[in-house]
Amino acid sequence: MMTNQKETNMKVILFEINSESYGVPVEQVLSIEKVDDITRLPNAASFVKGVMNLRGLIVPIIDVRNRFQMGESVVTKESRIIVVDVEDMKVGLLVDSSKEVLDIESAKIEKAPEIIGGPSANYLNGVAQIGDNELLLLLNLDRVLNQDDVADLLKIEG
Amino acid sequence: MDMSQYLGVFLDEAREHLQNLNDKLMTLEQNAEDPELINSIFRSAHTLKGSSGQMGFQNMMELTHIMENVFDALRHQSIKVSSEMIDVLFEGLDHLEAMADTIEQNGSDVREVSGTIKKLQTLTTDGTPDNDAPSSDQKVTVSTVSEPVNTKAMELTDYEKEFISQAQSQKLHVFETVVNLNKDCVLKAARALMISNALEESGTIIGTRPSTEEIEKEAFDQQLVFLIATESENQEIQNKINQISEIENVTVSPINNLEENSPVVQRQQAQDIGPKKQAQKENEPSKPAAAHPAVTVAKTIRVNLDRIDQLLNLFEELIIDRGRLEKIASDIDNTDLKDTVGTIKRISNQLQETILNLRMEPIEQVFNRFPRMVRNLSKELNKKVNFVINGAETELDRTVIEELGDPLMHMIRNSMDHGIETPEVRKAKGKDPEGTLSLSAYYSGNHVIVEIVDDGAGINKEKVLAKAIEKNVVTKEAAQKLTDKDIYHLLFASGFSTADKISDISGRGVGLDVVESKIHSLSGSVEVDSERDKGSKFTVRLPLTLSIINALLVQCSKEIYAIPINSIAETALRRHIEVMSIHNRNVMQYHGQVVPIINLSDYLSITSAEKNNTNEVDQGSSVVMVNHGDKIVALVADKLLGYQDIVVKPLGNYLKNVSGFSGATILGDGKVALIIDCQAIITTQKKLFLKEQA
Repeated sequence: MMTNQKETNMKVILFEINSESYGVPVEQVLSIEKVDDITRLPNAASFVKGVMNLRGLIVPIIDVRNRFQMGESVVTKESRIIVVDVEDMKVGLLVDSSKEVLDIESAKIEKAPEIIGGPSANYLNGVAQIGDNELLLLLNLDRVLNQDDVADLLKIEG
Repeated sequence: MDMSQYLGVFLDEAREHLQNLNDKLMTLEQNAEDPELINSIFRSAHTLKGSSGQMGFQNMMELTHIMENVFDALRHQSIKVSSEMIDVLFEGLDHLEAMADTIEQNGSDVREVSGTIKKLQTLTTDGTPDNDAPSSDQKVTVSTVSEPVNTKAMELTDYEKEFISQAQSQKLHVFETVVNLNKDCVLKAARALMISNALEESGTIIGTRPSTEEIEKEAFDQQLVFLIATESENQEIQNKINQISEIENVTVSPINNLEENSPVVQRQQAQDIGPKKQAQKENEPSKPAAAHPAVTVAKTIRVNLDRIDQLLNLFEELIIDRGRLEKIASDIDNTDLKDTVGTIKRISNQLQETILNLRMEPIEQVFNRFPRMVRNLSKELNKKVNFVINGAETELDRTVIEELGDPLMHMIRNSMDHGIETPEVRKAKGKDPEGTLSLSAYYSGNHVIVEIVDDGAGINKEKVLAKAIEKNVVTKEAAQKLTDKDIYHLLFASGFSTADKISDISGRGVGLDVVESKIHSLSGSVEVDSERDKGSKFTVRLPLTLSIINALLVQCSKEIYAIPINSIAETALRRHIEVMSIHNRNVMQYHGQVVPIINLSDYLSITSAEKNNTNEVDQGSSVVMVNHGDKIVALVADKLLGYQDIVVKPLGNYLKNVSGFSGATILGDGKVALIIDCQAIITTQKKLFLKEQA
């Protein structure tokens, strides 16, 4: 029973970008931080907000909204940085807010309907319904952090 | 007995012997008649055979044994050194090295070596003394060594005398324990340690002959003498030591008439030793550690590298906080606080030096693999080369050392392949048919310089240029503007190879550009100089250490950047320099050279909204002359904030494509400052220049 339970449930860190709810699995998240001084990094892609000192570690900060080409984030009191660790890369995601950890039944996760479209569609693992009318978009961090398309962009610029 | 605890010692020792064999074999080829050399080789092989056998590595032992036979035959001059023989012996050595590697990895020395063994055996088949001869011969020499046991002739130091009388006044026995190790005992130091541990169990060791240091270094033959103060009887001690294996014999004899030497001492001591052992215990710690071999054995210890790295990491944190503290102290302006911070700074500077020193290793570790390589290459290429190494003792951070092997190898191969000519060609040019290739290292300020110099053909400028144009590395127009050094440097451009025929030694067009990027990643630089038919020189400059550097902090608008002091030639006030303009570009004169002026605000794309009003600031701003090799550019910054030790932190994997910065550092206030990569500035500047010319 126990193993069954574990398999079917998934803990997700919930955050908001542009009033939409996104989630990443807790296993990929190192910590959630308040926004500190971010040092701008010239020559980097536009969605790289800069680098931040995270207890002695230099962490690049990605403006997720900008990464999804939905404009630039404005840092407010609610803004948070979700530090994730994917394939030996430690990266901070700048999001509008982050409040809770959610248990989601795997059964409720569906493939992202193509109909959603929109800029972020490429970066999703699936969609789950939470609450009555709310959808949770599960991020595929590998794809969010993949820079192949970005490298091409930079080449053109450089 | 469980051998696994000795595995590390065995491997270290085996590698030392293998390295020794390696080095000596190289020399043997030239000095075939030197008996001392052959003896040294023989001894190394003999020891290795013994220790591998004892550790149970049969394959290794057999192979070493057969090689030892060859050395023995050489020793008795029943065979002569030949180049083929050296080849076969090297082949054997390679197998032994590979065995040592697999033993380290999975504890097995199994390896297919029958071919090599056959070749080795044919070396000795004609007129060699049979296999038993060496050992019987050895017996003779060894037994003469172990014979003179001068039990009573041991001279005592004052300290020992004092200790003995002290012990005797406490009714302890003082014994002179003479241990003769088995003549083919291997790992003698380990054996000595076991003996001293056994003795420590029953009493206190007062002194040893030879000294503990020499014992550690195995600088003794078979005999060890321990002075021990104990409550036990001599028979007990004798039995105890006899339980240790590989011991020829033990004699334990009491020492009891010191009185005539030191009655005074004894009386003196008797007073404060009165209340028995207690006092002695208290006295002990103040004595030099020599009284405790078990402790002194730890004079050098092997430390896991991770721990040293951890230490360095912690220290880096400390440096960051120190920066913070300094800032606070200057803000608060309290004398006591300032003094304390000053002291902390001084101590941490010493600490830094100590920690960084822990990570320093002689460059020899990289250098000593090249003689073999050069020898092989010279055979392959039919060239005669005299390979010279200088300054192998120069020390560098081990991170740098680890990474340095490949680039140096590429450059040496390149010099062997393209530089040094064949003997016929050299003769025709009126040069010594034997070429010289030298590899040297030396300190220069905060750098270590490694030079690879050959007296070969030199670099054919025209050929390089033609090739570069053909391969689109430079345009024809730009090519005309290049200096000789620039042209030589084209060798390092990617996709470049001038070799007419592609050999498997170099000239695959992948060698030298990898070299430069590797050296660049170590914050180093490489330069080439050359003269036709005289030879070429590759100069590699490397920083002494990578993790903590001194840097100049500069401010542009509100942002702070760090410029490594290694790159800085000079700083000046903006208003003190005369700006000229060429093709709409600002330049200035610097030591008779025209250098471009780069506004950091532009380079760092600081938007004009953030920029302060230009003209006014220009006057108050400063200029930092940075150099890379012989290239100089002038960087204009709003303000210089001063020099500071900074800890270099990598930008991480995610940002590896971002150029222009060699890392980042954390400032006193916790903010991150980027470290400007001056080499990148200069390279882009050069590219820009070439592009414009084209």
